[in-house]
Order: sequence, then C-alpha cells, then structure tokens
Amino acid sequence: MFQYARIPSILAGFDALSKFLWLVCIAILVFIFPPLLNLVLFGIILVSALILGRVGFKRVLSALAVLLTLALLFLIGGIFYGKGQPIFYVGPFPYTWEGLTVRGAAAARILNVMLSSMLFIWVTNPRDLVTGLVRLGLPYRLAFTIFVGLNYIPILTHEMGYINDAQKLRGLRKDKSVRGLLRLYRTYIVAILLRSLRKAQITAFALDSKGFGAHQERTYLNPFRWTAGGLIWLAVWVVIVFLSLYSTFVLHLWSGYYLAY
Amino acid sequence: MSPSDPCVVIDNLTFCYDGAASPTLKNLNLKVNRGELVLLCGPTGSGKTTLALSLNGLVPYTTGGDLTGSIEVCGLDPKSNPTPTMATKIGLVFQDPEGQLCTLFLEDEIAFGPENLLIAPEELINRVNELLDLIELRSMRLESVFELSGGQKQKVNIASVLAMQPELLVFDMPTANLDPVGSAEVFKVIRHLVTERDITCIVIENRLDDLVPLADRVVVLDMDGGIAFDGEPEDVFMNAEEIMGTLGVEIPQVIEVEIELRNRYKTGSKDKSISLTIEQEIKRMETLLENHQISVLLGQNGNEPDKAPGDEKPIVIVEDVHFSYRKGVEVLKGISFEMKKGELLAIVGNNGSGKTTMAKQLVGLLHPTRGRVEVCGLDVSKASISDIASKAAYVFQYPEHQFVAQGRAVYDEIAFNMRMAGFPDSAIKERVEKLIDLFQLSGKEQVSPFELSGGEMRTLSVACMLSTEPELLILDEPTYGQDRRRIKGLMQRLGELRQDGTSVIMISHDMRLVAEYATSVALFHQGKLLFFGDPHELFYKPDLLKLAALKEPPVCTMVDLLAARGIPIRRDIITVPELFNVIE
Repeated sequence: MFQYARIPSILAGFDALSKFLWLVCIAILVFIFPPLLNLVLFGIILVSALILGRVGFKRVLSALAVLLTLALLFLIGGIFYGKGQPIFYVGPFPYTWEGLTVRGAAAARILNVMLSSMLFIWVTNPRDLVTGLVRLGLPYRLAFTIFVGLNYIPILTHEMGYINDAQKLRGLRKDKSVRGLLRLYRTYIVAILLRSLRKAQITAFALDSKGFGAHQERTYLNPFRWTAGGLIWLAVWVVIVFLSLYSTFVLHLWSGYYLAY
Repeated sequence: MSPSDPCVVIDNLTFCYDGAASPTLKNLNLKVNRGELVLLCGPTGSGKTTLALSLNGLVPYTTGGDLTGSIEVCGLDPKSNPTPTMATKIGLVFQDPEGQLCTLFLEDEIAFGPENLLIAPEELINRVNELLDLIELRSMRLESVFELSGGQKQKVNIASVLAMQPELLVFDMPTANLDPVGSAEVFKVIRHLVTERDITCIVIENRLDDLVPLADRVVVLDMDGGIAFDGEPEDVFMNAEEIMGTLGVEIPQVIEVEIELRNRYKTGSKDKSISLTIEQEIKRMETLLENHQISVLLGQNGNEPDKAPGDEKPIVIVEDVHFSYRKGVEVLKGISFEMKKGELLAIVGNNGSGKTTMAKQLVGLLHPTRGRVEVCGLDVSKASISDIASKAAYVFQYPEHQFVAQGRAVYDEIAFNMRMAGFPDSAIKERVEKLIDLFQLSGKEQVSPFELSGGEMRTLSVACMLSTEPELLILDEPTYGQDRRRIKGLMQRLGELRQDGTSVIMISHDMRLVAEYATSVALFHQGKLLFFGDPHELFYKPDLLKLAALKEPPVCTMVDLLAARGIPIRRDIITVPELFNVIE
C-alpha cells in the first residue's frame, strides 16, 4: 500500500519535485480551508488518484479503509471535547456539535494530508525524488538516507512474512490470552529489530563497498529534470493556495478556521 | 603499478573481533598476482569472510576489532584509506543477495556504484546496457530488484560491482542461492572477467566441482586463522585427503575418484599432480582399463538404495494440488505424489520452480487453491496449524528466521515448542538435554542463539523443531553455507532420526547431497512435477535435468563418458562408493 506503483499515468509522468511541492500546497490548504472545503479537496485528490494517477480502485479502497478508520477514531474522540451543545450522551459524556465540528475538521485535514502523501508515493519513483531533493540543495548522503529507508519497506515486508510463519509453526499464535498476545508482540518486535539490524549492517557494507560517500558529489544515470506537465500542475495549485490565502486573510470568507481547530 | 605487480599483498595479518577469545586470522601471509582467479576455501568459521572484508577496510573499521600486520590492495592500504575510496579498486559481492541491494530498480542498482565514483551519465548508460546484456536481464531493466528471483538478484549484484570496473573482485559465496546451472554460469562469467578483462578475482566457495577446473590458484584456510595450503589446484589437491579429512572441506568429486583409485589400486601414486577435470580423469581411467590395472564388473549392482525403514504407509499424500498467490499466477500446477514413512525425499528444481511453495503446503502455511494435501493423517486444509506443527516440522533456509525465544539461550530455544504445547518441566528437560547431546551443542546451553557460528545456528534450527518429536521433518536448503564436515554431521543426525521412524523432506540445490542421501527425489519445474522417483533414475535423464537447470553429480558424467567410449558400465551409479562397487 505504501510503495511506488510504477503504473504509467499523467501524474507519474510529472517530475518528482513539482509533485513534492504540490504536497506542500495541500499542507497549507488543509489548514486554511473550512471543513466543507476540506471535504471538496478530499474529493479532488481522490479523483486525481483515480484518473490522473491511474492507481486503481482496489489500491484506493485499501487506503481508504485505513484512512476512514483513522477518521472515525478522530470523530469518536469528540466525546471527550466537553464544550458546546450536546447532541447525545455516551454514558456520562456528552457528544456536542462543537466536538463534532472540531474533530471532523481535524479528521478531514488528516485524511487530505495522508491521501495526498499516499498518492505522491504511488506515482513517484523514489529515485526521482532523491535526485530532485539533491537539486534543491539537499546533500546527497541525506537524500539517500530517505531512499534507503524506503528500500527497507519491501525487505521488512518479506522479513515480517518469515517471522509470522515461524511464530505460527512454533506455536506462538496458539495462546490467545492477553499474556500470550503480549509475548507474541514482544517477540515479533524483537525479531523485527534483530533482523533489521542485521540487514542494516549488510546494507552498510554494500553501500561502503560501492563507493557511497567517496566524493562530495555524485553523478546520476537519470538526472533530475523539470517537466512541463509537472510545472503546470504545480502552478495551478500555487494559484489555488494564493486565492485561498487571499480569501482567508483579505476577504475573510472563512477566517478563523485555521486558528480555531 | 605495472601488470607484474601483485594485486594483493598481506603480511603477517592478525585480526581478532571484539570480545572474541582467539583471533579469527593469525599471522596470515598471502600474495595474489594480477590476473589470477583465486579460489579461497576452508572450513566454516575459518575466517574466509573476515579476510575478504579486510581487503576493503570493512574489517576492522565497520565491524570493530583489533587488526595488526599490513595489507596492500592494488597499491592502496585499506588501513589508511576509507572503504568508499577502496571501492575504486576493489569490488565485493556478498552472500546475501537481497541485503546488499542499495536501490529499488534494476538499472539503478547497476548504476549505483559508478554514480558514486562520478562517472559521466553517457558512460553510465553504456556500462548499464553492457552489463544488462551480460547478465541477460535487459528486458527487465525497469523492474523492481525485489521482484527478481534469488539467482537473478545475485546476477544483478555481480553486475553492479562490475560496473565500477574494479581491478580486484572478491566474491563471498556468490552462488549460495543459485541452482546448479546458474552457479556454473556465474563461475564462467568470473573466468571470462579474468581472462578477457584482466580483472583479478578471489572467490570464496564451498561447492568446488565447477570452480576448481577454472581456478588458477587455490588457497585453503585452516581453523587456526592461517593458510593450510596455497598453490595451483593440481598441487593443492594432492593433499585432498587432508583437506577433506582434517579440515572437513568438500573436494571436487573428480578428485575424490582419483584419490580412491590411488588408494585402492596404487595407481598414479608417483604422479606429482592430480586430475582436475572429468576429461582428464576419464583418460586416466581408460589407460588403467587398457593396461588391465582395473576392470569394470559386469552385472554388479551399485549400492542398494537406502530403503526407508518401517511400514509402507504414506506419510504425505499430495493429490492434484494447484496454488496461486494473490496475483493469480499459478505457482503449483496439478502436483501429485505420495511419500512413504521413513523416506528421505529430496525436492529439487531451479530457482522459482515452486519447491518452497510446495513445502509450505505440507505444514499448512499455505493451502491449495485446488486439490488435497494430507500429512501424517491430517488434511492440511482442515487441521489447525498447531496440530500440523506438532506432527510436521519445517526448518527455514535461514536459521535466524526460526528463533523466537528472543533474548534467551539455546536451551530455551529448543524448549520453546514444548513449553508452548504445555509439556511438564521434567519432560522438557529430558528431551532438550537429549537434543543438545545429539546435535553436539553441549556447553552452549546458556549462549544466545545469535552468538553461535553459522553451522551451529543451522543445527540448532533443526534441534528446536525436533523437540516435540514430529513424524515429518522438512528442511529448506539445509546445507546452505556449510562445509562438508558439518553437512555430513547433520545428515548423520538425520539418518539416526530416520532409523527411529522420522521421515525427512529436504529442498536442495546440492545434487551430490541428493545423490548420497535421498531415497527418492521430486523434480519441480515451473510449478509442475516433472519427475518423482529414484535419484538413480533422475540423474541419467539429461533432458529433464537440462530443462530444470540442474546438473548431475560429476560421477554420473564420468559414467556416461565411459559408457560412450564402449566400456560396459551400469548407468545407475550416482556416488563415488557406487562407482567403486563396479570397479575391481
């Protein structure tokens, strides 16, 4: 769910930096938009993922399942908001309109930031992000740290599979008591940590052996290039951000939302 | 540096890991000339990998430890040059094909090293294209490296190091994950690099049949941290009995035949060198036959196959099993076979043929999408995994995947399954002590499993799955990274278990092991079962072996060549003892 999908699409054809800066635009918008506009934004990102990103319904639905669960937890958290006019009670706790609005706004923001980040990961080759960040002036050693981190996702996915299998075969999954579950998760975490450390050592050996860090600079098989499509996409969103800022701070169409919640 | 200068000069090298009781390498002296292909072998734990890592400075700077003596590699001293600088001269290919991948996509992986060395983009493209052709993966250049098979990953690793155009290449067990044909291809590529590109290569290996005829020199390490033998292969293997007997290192089967001939019939005892290739050995045998120094017994059978003890009741029944992962590609296509109790069944096949997927069906980790699997009387689709696990144990390829009693000692690791199953302490103690004794782990009871040597980890991984006395033991590549002595020790333990009625299935790429120990063999290819039966039959089916990227043991090739020369020899001989059953 959190890996580059390598599907040819309009968004995949855009340069990584334009898409990365688009994420910055989304991060600004979610904080100045009122809840309703955040929901509209959510719809736009969703449609972008399906049409411009061609990431597929199945992938989007899996992501939505996780994101909406998270959003629901936020909404449930409204019980503890306390202030405002009660709609209903859960035991002694009142669920208020204000609680719903505040938590709903927070949930919408989280949804937008997470969905847009996922879309970015699905349609962006991590290699292009690294070369893009280096173009922005980030030292390549630092940029590659992010890259190597991304490399660990498939490696750890495989490792988790092995550990799951070993636990099943050795009877660890049999004990369903709280104590058993605690032992299961402790074992699981220790196993993952141990395996990650061993893998990290081998990766460190390989990086050094392949001359990583030998020079201050490095060359690239696929150096970063801005794309016209990416720049247009970015320009559209920058205009939206400016219009929204103008509407918020000059026209005061929805002033206060970014402060209140 | 002139071409006649040595590429590697090691003088009086001693290295001790932090906290280790004794040095891994001790007063070691070695000189490797430019343009040589050096085979470095030795028993497990003799310091082969440590020596390799010291050549580019990973030892001691990354691993820690105390190093004395001097090393010079292509004119550079790894003690005063950081590893990334050493990378301009020396490339290392490690054993673990996945862990050493630095990027996500195939073409990026090959370009990664030269990118670090500031090679211009135009030249990068040329190198990547050339190497993609060399490893025959050009059509997959944009694929994720994690989607490749183990063999393909290792080829990419070799290409990624070659792309840096080093003067010295060091390979640490580069074929540990490859099928026999894949291994032979890698060795040919290495020979090509030495001959055509004048790159010096040092190859650490345990399986020597294909590599020895290609090597210019053999260096054998001993367990004292030094060099036991160093010289041309013909000279070094004059000491084959000591290499095999005292050091426990595998020697090529051709040399085993030669040694046996010398010992039995005092033939060629005055020769100062030894045959390294099958062709040389066949000529020698022909001469002996012509001179009537030896003769082939007609009608004499080879060793009787190791028949399974006990009754003939199938312990495994596999009926028309099909299986697909989520992507929908069928990985198993209508597999059917039965395995008798007490048998040792070898599952063989090339990388990605479905061997491990089949084995996982037998313990309930995967369920057939169609068909039926019955193991020890349990239908695996209906029985719980813990019920199956109490009767059928699965030992993973990498022992550390098996260990779940994290942070505890060897004793706890072996006791773990019994504790989970609720056995009383007295029964656990009795059984664990028996297994510790059987698997020669005495004295290590309170040591962490992760502090054991690779060989000990392997034996522990088997021991901890035997605590609940399963009826069936399944081992995935049990000989991975092991020397011959440890393999023999493990197989002896398995033999004892079989005498007590335990059935064994092993997945292996080691055809000599299959020939020596398996009572039956299942050959998988592209998810289909191409052959199920006696290994004596399989190893004389060249078309099947070729299709599945397997190679018969060298002794079978020798028998074939003798038969082709008109010598009336039975074509069901697959081991050296069987060959000498028909030679007088």
